[in-house]
Amino acid sequence: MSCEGSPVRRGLLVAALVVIGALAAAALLAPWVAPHDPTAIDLARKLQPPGKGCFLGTDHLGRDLWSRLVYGARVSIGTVVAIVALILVLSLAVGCTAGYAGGWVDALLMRACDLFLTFPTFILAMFLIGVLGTGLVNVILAIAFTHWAWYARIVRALVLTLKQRNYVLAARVAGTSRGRILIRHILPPVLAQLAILATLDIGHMMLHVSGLSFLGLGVQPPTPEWGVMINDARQYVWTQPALILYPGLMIFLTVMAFNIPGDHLRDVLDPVVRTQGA
Amino acid sequence: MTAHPVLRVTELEIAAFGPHGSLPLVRGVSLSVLANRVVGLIGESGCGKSLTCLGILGLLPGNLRRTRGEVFLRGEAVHTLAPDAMRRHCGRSVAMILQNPMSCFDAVHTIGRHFRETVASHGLQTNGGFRDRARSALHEVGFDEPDAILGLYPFQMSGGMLQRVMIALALLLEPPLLIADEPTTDLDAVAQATILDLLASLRKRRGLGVLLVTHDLSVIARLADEVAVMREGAIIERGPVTAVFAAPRESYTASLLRAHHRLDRDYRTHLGAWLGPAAGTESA
Repeated sequence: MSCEGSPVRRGLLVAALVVIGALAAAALLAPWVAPHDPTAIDLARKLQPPGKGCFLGTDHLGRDLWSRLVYGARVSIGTVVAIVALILVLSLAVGCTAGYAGGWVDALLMRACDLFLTFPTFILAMFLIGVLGTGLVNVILAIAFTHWAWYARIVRALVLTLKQRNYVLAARVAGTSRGRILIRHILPPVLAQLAILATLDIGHMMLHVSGLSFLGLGVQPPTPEWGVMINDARQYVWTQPALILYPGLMIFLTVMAFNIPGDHLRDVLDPVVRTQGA
Repeated sequence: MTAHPVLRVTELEIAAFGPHGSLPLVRGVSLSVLANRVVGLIGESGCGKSLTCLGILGLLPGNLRRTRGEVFLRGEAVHTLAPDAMRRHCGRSVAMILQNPMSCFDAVHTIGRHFRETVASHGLQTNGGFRDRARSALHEVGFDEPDAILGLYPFQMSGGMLQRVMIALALLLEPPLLIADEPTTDLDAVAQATILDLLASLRKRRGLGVLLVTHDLSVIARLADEVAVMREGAIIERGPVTAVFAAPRESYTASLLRAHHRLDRDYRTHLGAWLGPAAGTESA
């Protein structure tokens, strides 16, 4: 397993996995990790410096910053997992059908993809939210619908090359049905590639979610979300820079952490690399 | 002996269809393979040998189609069958081994799972007796420790071993007909000899009919009873191997043989001094 990596590369991977693990733990265990209700307003204690009870201080409505960051992990990671799951289902269905069926089915599905690919994703996502309305579920739908086309194209391309493989012909010669070939011989390598892509894209999706929330189009204010928090803190950027620094740092760390394991994952998921290294 | 030949092909025509019309690639090939006989099909690259094989199995790529001709497996017409019905014949009435064995296995699965898949594809039980069948098939192709082989991944084996595994897989459901498409290409001389000996003994033991496709004349000379020479999609000459090789009627066949003999002679004169008198005899 990734034994060819230098100590630095390996150290980065470990660090990234630790960060991801910590974020996942924070997301799952938010009610226990966070000392306060992230939405409890206490105007008497607004803009407190770090101190007892609130060790990162409070925001302009007296809400505990640390609690909001912890719950923010829950919103961010949950949203991104939902988006990636939706994209994988959509793109696998469309890509496999197009690549494996070929002919007019392929042409039709790919033109539909092209339609989505012609718009800048962020603008299209904003348009979709304009139609669907703001809110968490709509953000998930909007980002998934604006990104699936790339994945569908990649899945189709992978299926097209894989179905030309000699072992697929060998399986057909042995009388294996098309469905079984798709599931047993074509899907596993496609999934391995998609897992890598999705890991590399998680950071990108997260920026989208935070970006939309920052613009007020995504997750709505009382919900503790990092983009929302940055937006809330804009007016205090000179007096209370910590309010904008911490959520920004969280986004930065998370995006970085998800970008690193992508190519390590490739080494682990490729069976040839795996056993030759063992 | 069965009354019907295990394979009969009449006037098979295959054409490629593109935006500018169709292009005939196989033009009226007729073949017949009896049980316990080896029919060789030779010709240069691109003459339509492999397409003929795929056409028999109904596994042509998307832009190619059978435009004419009939295919009978053990007397049953299969050219009219729907793909799913034809699928049931693949592996049971006819098995095929392909060239370049290294690429014919999915690196994600062990050899054992490849065996399991072939059995499961035909709706047969994959427990109990399955392992014994896989074991005896592997034993038959010369593996002394079949259990170890079943646990290996394809890339842990050599090309020659994989070709033998492919033959074992092909024989798993005991088809009466084996189509061997260039079974010895990409293998070294020792592995080639092993595969050819194996095919010869299987044919004798099981009464297998074999359609042997190759461009290697020495393979034909070693294994085949009859030979058909193919050129530009059509069979131009056929007959018993000894007769065709001794007195070819077509100038194309004669030039193929001449080219082969010339290479062989050059090889002997150039390398004979280095390798001693035994050199060049192993391919005869």
